[in-house]
Amino acid sequence: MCEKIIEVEHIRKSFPLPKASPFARRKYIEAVNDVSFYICKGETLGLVGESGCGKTTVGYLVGGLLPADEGEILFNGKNIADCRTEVEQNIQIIFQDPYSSLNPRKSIGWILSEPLRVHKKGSKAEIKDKVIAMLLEGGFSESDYHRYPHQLSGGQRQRVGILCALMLNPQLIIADEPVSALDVSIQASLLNFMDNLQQKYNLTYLFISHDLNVVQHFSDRIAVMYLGRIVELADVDQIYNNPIHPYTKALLSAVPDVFGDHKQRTVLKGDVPRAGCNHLGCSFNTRCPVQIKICGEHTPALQEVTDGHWVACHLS
Amino acid sequence: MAILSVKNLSISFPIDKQYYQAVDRISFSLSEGKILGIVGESGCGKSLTALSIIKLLPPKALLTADQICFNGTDILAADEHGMRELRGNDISMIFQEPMTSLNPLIKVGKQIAETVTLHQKTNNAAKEALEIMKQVGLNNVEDIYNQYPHQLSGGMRQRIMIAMAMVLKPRLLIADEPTTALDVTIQAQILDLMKQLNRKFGTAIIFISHDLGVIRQMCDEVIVMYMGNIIEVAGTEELLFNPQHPYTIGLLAAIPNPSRKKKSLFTIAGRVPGITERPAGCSFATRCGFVTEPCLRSKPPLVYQQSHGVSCFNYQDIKREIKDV
Repeated sequence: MCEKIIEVEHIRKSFPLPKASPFARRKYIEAVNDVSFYICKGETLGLVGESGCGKTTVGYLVGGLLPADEGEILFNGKNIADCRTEVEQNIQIIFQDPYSSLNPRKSIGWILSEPLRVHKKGSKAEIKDKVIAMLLEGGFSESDYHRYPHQLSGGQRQRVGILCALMLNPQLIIADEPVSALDVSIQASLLNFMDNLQQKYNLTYLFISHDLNVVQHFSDRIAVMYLGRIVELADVDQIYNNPIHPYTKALLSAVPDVFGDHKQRTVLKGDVPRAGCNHLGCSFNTRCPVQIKICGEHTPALQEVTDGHWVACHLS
Repeated sequence: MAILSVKNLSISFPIDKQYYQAVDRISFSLSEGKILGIVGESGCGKSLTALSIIKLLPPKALLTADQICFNGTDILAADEHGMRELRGNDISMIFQEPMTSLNPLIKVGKQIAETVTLHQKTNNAAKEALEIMKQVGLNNVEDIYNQYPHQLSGGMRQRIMIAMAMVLKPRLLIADEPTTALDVTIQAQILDLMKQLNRKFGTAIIFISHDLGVIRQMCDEVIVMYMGNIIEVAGTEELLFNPQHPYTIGLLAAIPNPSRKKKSLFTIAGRVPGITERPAGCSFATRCGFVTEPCLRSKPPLVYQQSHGVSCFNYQDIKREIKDV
């Protein structure tokens, strides 16, 4: 049975755009628009979409790095705005680029001990012991405590990023494109590492990525985003074998497949519309191959089509 | 007919007054109108190989080769003036990042027309630019002609890059990770376009990528590189479904595969040695699970069986062993 660790209810977030002139009215882009979902304890929810669709913003909102404009995010039933310390300790984020997310002037030991120092977990000696135990767990040696990020390879740096997120024994980890900057063979070892950690510590992941093969491998359920909205949310197998939303279908068919049979591909025309332009109706209607009249007038709501399979499309 | 043939190409870089090899005596050739893929992880020398064909290597790099021959022209002997004639006219290149390879201060149409005026005495440069812009699938070409790169989306910019590379109908196009910076739906459009242009104009393409899925979709033949060596070369389907070299086998097993879901992924042990730590024998020996004594002593030659070449002493034994498991 699903014990919900995160419940997101109708959140919105918009960002102001630079003004064209000092007298112009300020325009906003709706980065996240009426998004709702939940994450069960111990599962991995994959969040996919193209660049600019708002998936990172959702990650930041859930991680409490940004306040939502509207809507509520509940962590274990409590609004995250009301329990800051609990959220800070129990929700951690792994960032995309291991080259820019580690402080180049601090040693690995310092970086890993920072969360413990900030939250005052134990004495100096205790903290050091814990960091070294963690380093060993991550496949490093004790001597790596005094090394600096530039002395590590990209894969090792990302491993440090993951360990850093684990220091406070969090319940939920938000992984924002954790393996996108890495080569395939290194990617594989990191995914295995994250998988082992999940089993060992009973972690919950919100796994954000644009790489559909990786997401499929790693996730239990998948949410597909397009222009700030979730257009489809279902079990991995449902999404991959029985996608309903035309965008999901096109996205899946666009992925270059290494092993499968050659498939019929739907190549979408045009680009993702610029964020910020006001848009009537379904956000996908500028590119949708199967649209009907109503698509230009009303935005479809996310509805449960079959058990656990949610789609936002008038034609579903 | 081979349009490009490269024999024993080496590229080395000086570090502390000593030269270290980044590309190590590789040979390959490309037939007219074909698409050749080069795959490998970052730092394996695939971009350097491509740059050496048009002699755009960084000045510090030391290039040696027995032969680099393009369409009857000896590239090794060509001087800078001769190379300028060749680049754009006969060989052109598309780079990975479309934002940084376009001039932000010049209208995109003019940038395409510039290529034409540099190489041909013509008054129709603008017209030719508009024509090729249509060919690469842009709409409203007259409007786009007068726009600056920042006004276009990533996919459109990459189309402009392709238009610029294709405007003089070159015989050979070198594409260095042309879709890595793009989203999958845009990537699908660009790959389709490149394939169309290849068929329409008979342009041969060297397609560099780290993504084997993209390679499979595009290429006729694939070269796998590791630490500056060609370790395996074969037809695309043959390579993906009958890989021989332990590195290729490992690389393919490391890719998440829908049919083996939720099992842990195969990983290649260790890491790529740095350029200064190149092993004496086979460059993959430090990470290979099947290493034997000869591997540590000398570099295995690229042995061909029909058109499938593999650079490994033990590939037959490895094949047998993997089958047994």
